[in-house]
Amino acid sequence: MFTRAYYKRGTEKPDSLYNHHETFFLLTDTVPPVASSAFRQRRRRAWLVLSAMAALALAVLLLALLTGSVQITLPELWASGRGNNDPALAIIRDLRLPRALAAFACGGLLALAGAMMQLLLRNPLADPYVLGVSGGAAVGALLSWLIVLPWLQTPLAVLGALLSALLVWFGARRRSESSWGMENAPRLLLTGVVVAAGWGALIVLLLSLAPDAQLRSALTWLMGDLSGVMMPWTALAALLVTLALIWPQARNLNQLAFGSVHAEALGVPLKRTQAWLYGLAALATAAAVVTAGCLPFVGLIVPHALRLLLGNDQRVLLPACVLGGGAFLTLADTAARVLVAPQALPTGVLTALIGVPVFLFLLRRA
Amino acid sequence: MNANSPVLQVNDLTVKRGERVLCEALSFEAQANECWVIIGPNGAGKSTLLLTLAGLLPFERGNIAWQGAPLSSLNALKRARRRAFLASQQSDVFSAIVFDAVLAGRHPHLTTLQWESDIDVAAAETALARLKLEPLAPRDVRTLSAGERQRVALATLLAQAPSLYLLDEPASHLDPAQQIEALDTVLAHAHEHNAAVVMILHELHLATRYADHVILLDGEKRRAKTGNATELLTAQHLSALFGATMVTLEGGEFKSFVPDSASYLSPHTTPPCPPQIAAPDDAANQDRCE
Repeated sequence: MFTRAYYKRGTEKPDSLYNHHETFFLLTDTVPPVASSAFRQRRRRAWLVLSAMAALALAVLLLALLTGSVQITLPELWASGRGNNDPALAIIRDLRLPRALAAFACGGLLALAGAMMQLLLRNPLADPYVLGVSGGAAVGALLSWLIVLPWLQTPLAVLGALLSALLVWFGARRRSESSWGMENAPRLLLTGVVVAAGWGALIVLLLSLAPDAQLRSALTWLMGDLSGVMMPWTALAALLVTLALIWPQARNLNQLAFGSVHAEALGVPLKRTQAWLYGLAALATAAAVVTAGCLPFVGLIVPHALRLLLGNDQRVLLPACVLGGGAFLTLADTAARVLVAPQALPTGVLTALIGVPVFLFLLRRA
Repeated sequence: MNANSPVLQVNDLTVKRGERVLCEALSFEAQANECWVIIGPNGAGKSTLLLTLAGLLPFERGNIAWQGAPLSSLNALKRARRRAFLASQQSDVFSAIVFDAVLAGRHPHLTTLQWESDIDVAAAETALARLKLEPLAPRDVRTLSAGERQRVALATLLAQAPSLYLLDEPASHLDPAQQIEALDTVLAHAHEHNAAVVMILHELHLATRYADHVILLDGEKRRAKTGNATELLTAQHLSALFGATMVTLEGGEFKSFVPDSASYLSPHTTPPCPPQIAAPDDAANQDRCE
């Protein structure tokens, strides 16, 4: 019956279309492959950029090891790697290496979490902190200082972050369980913003109660600082685990970017994917915040900048966020150590000071 | 999957939204190569019904089966291999290249870690070519006009190559010539794949042109009318459906229906007699009026 229209008009018999159909799977060269060659070119370019970023990340890590109040050259580093008693090596091994690795891990985690949050909320303005995970962690950390049990800082911060994540997720859930979690994003965003505002009030309350001696370190922590980090391994492990668990979902996430109805119609198990995305983003954010405080800006601009450079294929973008975010934060942290040496700036100040002009430049160019 | 089963089988379906019953005891079977059109006034629940048929919304009672397989037996991915769904509007937040948007239609045909192969790329390219969208391929979807975006969305469905097309207003935003060209292309593609099409249309001239079966959905009376297009697409039925006197227009080989000048009815009243320019096959209607 479809054919009625053609027969009635008597101009186009469907036969011509049948012939066309045979090309559908087999004879790709009957259609000039302009679009597909451009597609392949883009994909090649994405891999090229990704490899370049990996090289860049390594270079930045090396730079972070070599620069500081004690300058070390590459041959010296190489030579001291053999004899173990060198004080230069001790500086690198005990101070610079953990700090550089922590910076890389936190940058990667925040950029990854930012990219995931932007997809989950379908909002380019989202960052890892928008749903209040960082606020919860901050309240936990401040609480540990207030009760003068600093060793509780990490457990309490983790607890605060998880509490906040669960509060927002279950607070935003609709009472009537329909099969589509569709367009739940505004609700989730609103719940998150409100909960984050609540944490903000608690933070100010705790700061006003805190003794003056601790106020300074608390403020530095809130702005994000890597100076005290000795243990980068948790954050590094969290980074690897998050990437390994989310990357296989990357094509599902690509569909999510077009909208949740579109994604579900194309076979994405919507609720599961959204829960996975949210859980992993919250975990990544918590790992970063617990390690280095609320470093601003990395999670917002790095995914954006990389999207402008690489397009929005999450299979490329997510690893790129790890490399780019890591390199960016390592660089910012090195600058924070070196710029006004022997004074060290809080890392969070530098991320914003570098990030804002770079991002504005990229945005204008795009 | 049984080749002889209807592509879409709906049995005693009741769809509710909140407390509102949108349709009750709806049963029909869409066979391969059939085109069903859902017609009804605003708010009657056409889109909700279509989402339900697509397996994207839960329903109160009844059964839906695709090619003999009940919906509950299919997971999201298996569903997407059988049916394509065109949402009533596309909202793009992130930039994406048109070619990638069309290639997205291949998603259900790939395994988790598989990348798009040459076959998928060729399918996307063919889909673009059939809707004459090749010049748009490198563009960002956010820079497209609404009509262009609509055709890109249709191309995505062609690349998906399902056996059941569910289209929510596929002709919206398209100019008159594009409406015909795009729908012809989609229906020809469906025909080649022995697929069935169920679509919501507001343009009655398109309904008379493409439908071989129609579902008249009147949210108030709850009982949807299903049947042959030739029987149900009449001024009388449509007047009752829309609550306005509809008159028949005929031109060339096609006909359409338009509301008579300012003749709105309150719902649930007997439709008045269409004016005498009504189609001559409206015999029953004319009898009553004389």
